[in-house]
Amino acid sequence: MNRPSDHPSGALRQPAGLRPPWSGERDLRVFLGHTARRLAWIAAGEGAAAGLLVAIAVAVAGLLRGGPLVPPLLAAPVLMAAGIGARLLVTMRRRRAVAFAVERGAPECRNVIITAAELLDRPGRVQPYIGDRVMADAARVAAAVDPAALFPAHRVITALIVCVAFWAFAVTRADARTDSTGTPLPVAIGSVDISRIDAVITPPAYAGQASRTLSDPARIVALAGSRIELSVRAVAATVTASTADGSHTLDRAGNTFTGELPVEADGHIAIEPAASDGRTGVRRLIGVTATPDAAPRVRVTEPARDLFLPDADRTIDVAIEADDDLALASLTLRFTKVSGSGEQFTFTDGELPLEIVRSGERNWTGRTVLRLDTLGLGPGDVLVYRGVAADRRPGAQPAESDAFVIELTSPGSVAADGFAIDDEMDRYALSQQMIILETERLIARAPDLHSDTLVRASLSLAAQQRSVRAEFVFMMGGELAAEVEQAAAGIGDLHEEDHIEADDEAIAGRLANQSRFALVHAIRSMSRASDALTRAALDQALVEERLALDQLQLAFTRTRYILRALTEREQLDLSRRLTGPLDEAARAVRPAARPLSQERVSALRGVLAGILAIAGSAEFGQDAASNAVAHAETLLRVDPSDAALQDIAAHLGEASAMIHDARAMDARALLDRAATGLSNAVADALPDASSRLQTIELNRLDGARTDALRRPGGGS
Amino acid sequence: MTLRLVARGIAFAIAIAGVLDPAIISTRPARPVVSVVATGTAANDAVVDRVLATLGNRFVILDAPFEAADATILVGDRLPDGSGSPAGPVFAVVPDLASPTLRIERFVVPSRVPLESRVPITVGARVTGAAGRRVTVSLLIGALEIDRVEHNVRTADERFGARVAFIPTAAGASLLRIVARIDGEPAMAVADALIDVRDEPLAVLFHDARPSWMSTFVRRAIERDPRFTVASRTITSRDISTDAGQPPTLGDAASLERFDAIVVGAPESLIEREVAGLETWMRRQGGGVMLLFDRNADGPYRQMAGIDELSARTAGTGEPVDVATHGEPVAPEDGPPALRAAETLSPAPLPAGARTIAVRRATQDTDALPVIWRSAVGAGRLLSSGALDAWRFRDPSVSAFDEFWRATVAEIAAATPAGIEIRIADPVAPPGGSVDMVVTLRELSLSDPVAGDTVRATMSAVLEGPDGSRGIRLWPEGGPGRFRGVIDAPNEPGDWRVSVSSGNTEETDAAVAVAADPARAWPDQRDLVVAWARAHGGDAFEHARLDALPASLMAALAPAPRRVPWYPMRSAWWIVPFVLALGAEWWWRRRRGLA
Repeated sequence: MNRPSDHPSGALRQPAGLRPPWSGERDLRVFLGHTARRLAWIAAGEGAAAGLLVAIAVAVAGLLRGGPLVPPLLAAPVLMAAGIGARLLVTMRRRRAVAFAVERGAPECRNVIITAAELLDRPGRVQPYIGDRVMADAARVAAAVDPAALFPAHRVITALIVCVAFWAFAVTRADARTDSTGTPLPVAIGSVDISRIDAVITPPAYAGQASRTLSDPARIVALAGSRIELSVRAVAATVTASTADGSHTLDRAGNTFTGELPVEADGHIAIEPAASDGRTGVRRLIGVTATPDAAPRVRVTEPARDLFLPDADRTIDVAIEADDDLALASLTLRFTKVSGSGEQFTFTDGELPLEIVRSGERNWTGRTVLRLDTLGLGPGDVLVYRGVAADRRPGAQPAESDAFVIELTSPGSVAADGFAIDDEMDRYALSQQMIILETERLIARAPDLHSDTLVRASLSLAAQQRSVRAEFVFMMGGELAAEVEQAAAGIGDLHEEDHIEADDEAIAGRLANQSRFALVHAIRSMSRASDALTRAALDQALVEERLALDQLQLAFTRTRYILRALTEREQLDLSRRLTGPLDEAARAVRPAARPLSQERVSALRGVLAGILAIAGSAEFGQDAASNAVAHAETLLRVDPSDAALQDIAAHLGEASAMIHDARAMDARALLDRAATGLSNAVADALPDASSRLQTIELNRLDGARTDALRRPGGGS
Repeated sequence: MTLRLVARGIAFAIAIAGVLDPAIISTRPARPVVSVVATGTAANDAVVDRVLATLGNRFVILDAPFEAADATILVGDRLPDGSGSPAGPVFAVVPDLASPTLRIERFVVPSRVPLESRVPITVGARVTGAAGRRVTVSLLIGALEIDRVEHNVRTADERFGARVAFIPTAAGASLLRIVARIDGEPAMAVADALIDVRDEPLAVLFHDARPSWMSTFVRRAIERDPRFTVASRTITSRDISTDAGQPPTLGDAASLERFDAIVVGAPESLIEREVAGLETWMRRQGGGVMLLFDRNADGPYRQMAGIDELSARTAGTGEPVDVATHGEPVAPEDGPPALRAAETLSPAPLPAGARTIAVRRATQDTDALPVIWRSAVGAGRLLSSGALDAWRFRDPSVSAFDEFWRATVAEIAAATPAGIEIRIADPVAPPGGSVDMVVTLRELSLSDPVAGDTVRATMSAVLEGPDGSRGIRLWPEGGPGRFRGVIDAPNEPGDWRVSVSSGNTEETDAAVAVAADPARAWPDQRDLVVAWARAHGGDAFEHARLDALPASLMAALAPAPRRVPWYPMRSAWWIVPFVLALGAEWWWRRRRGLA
């Protein structure tokens, strides 16, 4: 008996050649195609149900061993696809022999459908009229056959629905891992694992920034004041999140553990799963960098200098710029009016509105016009003003710009309109070096100067020289023992000639202290210089001035301390000093000094030793993953804000994950990077070890050579 | 019938000829005996195989040194060990400079380092045939890389130094490995070294003959450094002092034995007895003394220091004082100078045999002047500092005052020998290998028999490890107090310690590591090998020219023809025709039905 077509789709294929269709042929082809598709769908349903059943069985078997439930369940689609494929493969032959399947289910067809299918496959084997007859009969018989009744799908559909329902129930309830009473199922240490960490970082409301979500982050950079919502998917009885502030147990909802942590400062979050018996699994470490909200920066850009004005009948344009890293909240001009004289001053604070131009939330510019006449300023009054800006951070102190001064000068003290300087200001800037410089300049100009001009200039220099000398006399306590004129005569009346005469006493060692000695010498030289300048003897004066400078340098560079007489109030209480008979003096013993503690270096070297212990051997130990995380945590505790240490900690954290996932090569590469980085971080803090090769023989040889060279004639 | 007889005859003929074993005398060139010697690493084994294949059967080859050989072929870029002269002309097969080759030539680490330090290591390497490529040099402990540097190769034949650093993490021996690799090349160069980390602070005594700011601030810098333990005495008046850490008196050299360095402030105030004690300590114990001047004054110290005159120089402000290399100041590339001083003392002239340590920088008016110098006193070291007021400029932004004095004191102190000095030639040994060691007993070595010193000592040495200990025999060698021994490395890899004791008073140990496959750094002796081969009547061939070796070898040997007996029946192949003949004869008889 001939077999029907091997291709179910072939039933719809057009016959080869130009053959007029048989009557009923189209109906039969439609019937056979419909039936073939139905068989395929039924097979696919059976395969899908089988795949689901396998997934559920694996999950249940794993659950009985204390393992995770979710992964096998999540693999169900793959298993379903495999089941469908396998079933379609198994039923391929049956589906190709559709006609046989129909005849088997409906024997009343009496093989006419099989015959017709064979003719469709090989149409040239019979005369046309026979084909017409067979096709017509087959079409008629097929019309009476209901494929749905012949190949019922309800059992397959029912099985599939049951399996899908069971699977869906398991997936939705898998997270809970509870028994029938709602109590969480015990979790063994072997199955404790963190599969995913999501962190939602919510900046503080005032920042106006959107939240962002990070998945499995190694580091979180967040604005200080932000909050981190942690969502940890893990197989664990409990999950704790530890920070420098302490540990927080995350709330559990199925296999998801959630909690919220504030970001206040640099640090880290250590997330640690634990089994039901309290034993902890491998921790995950997340570095946290808290970015502080910077204070606004304010600058007065106009006029941006102090003003000294003769009167208040003026207006002054003031411009202020401000910017902030997030957003500005306010920008104002504040002033303080200082009025009064002597020791009676009145301070009045005020604020002026600004016309603000906002280039954005971060950059503002403010302008205003200061109308001095409306502020009630009088001569000698001072107005101090500055820009003040605040950002939106609650409780933040406003930032101020540099303050500038507007002073209404008293009559007669104004050197020029808008700017004034104290005439005596240069008095404080005078130095002996300047006196020398001025004298040298005067000597250089002397040939071109009239004699009267030269004498006046010389007298002026003499006055300056006396002024400098007076400063040092003040420094010496205002008195120079008996060799100085009475203080009552005033500094300006110090008698240079007496100073010159007192030299002998000083040299005799009466003033034993070297600095004081040098300083007195300097003052004497200044006196002589002043005397010479008074006489317009410029060359002699220059010699004395330089001598005075040398003595000053000697006084201030050798011992740097100057004895001076103490006032009565400052008199030392000798009973409180270590005084006493000399024969009672004894040797003092002080405790031996202890080296500075290098906690940072010690901690970093400890971590380096730990990495060596992890990676120094050919294979990782059992605790390698957890130790790597512990070392990363140590690093972040040492200095949470150190970028280099943050990177090293991240490498260690990743290495821990690699070790946990049995990816030894990747873990070693990360440990190498961590160790190299750590070595570099420690190296700068340690002194270099001496690498010089020394032996007793070499030392002795060197000494013998030196001895030989030092003998008479040895060097020749 | 005929066939049967022929086959039988052939078999009989072969048997008879075999019994007779006739000899045929011929005249032909003899096959020279060539000794092939490989030096260097296992990488040369493949080259040796190539050499053997190239030589073929024209030579009798022995792949080992053979004194009676007609010629020697040296494979590798290193001269062979041993002092024996090679047999015959020497031919060398050296690496091809055109192919990428990398060799670690130098990897030296200090035998012992303090725990609280960083160990800078310079690795010397030679790379050929890799211009434009990059070499990565890694420092490993076990399997962990702890430092790495990269070097870009610019020329076809380049030597370079790579600086890596080892950070000690714990006391004990650490086996360091350098791995260098040309990027993209599978082969790598490897060298091992052993470093012994000691947590034994250096003992430093500060003795101020009067209060001295200079000495005080140097002492404070040293006291803050965990590498040192400091005892100090500051004499504030006659018989009055301030002490810390139980300082001994300088006049008693024996009481100074526990110190590695002595720093003296205001040395001009030392009395003769103290100077004599210091000198004795330096000569007999090899100690290091530092004199820190803070003014120019004469004193008994000058004879010990060999100083004739000290010339002072003063400037208004502090001038830089730079560390000197070979007498020339080397200003730091970045950061402040080592020291800064306004007032300095310089020896005029520099004491005989002294070395300049630091120099006051030259100005427009003056030349550079030595300010800190060092000389030897017996086996000890004497360092003198004329940076009188360097303490005034100790702000870290102005000068590296603390760092300079810490490094200087550390170096002076570290050079003071222990009572027993152990030197091990190569402390990383293969299992079962032998390691040479030299032990020097300081007391004996630095004794002066001419001065009537009499020293008696007993020595013993043991190798201690996880499997117990074993004795090491020490033999006197060289000068007094010097002994040599050979350590037989155990068969199991691990860390061992050589412990040497002298009587009951002294004991010192040193580390030895037994590694499965230790690698040493060797200087590339390619040029030497080539010269050596040519000096021995041969030539050198690069790998690419290996095909020319047999002809050159044959030309150099020129083997003379000689009568050579040939025994044709001594070939095993005769068994084949013999069996065939017998088989044919047997087959024929079977076919004829004969028995």
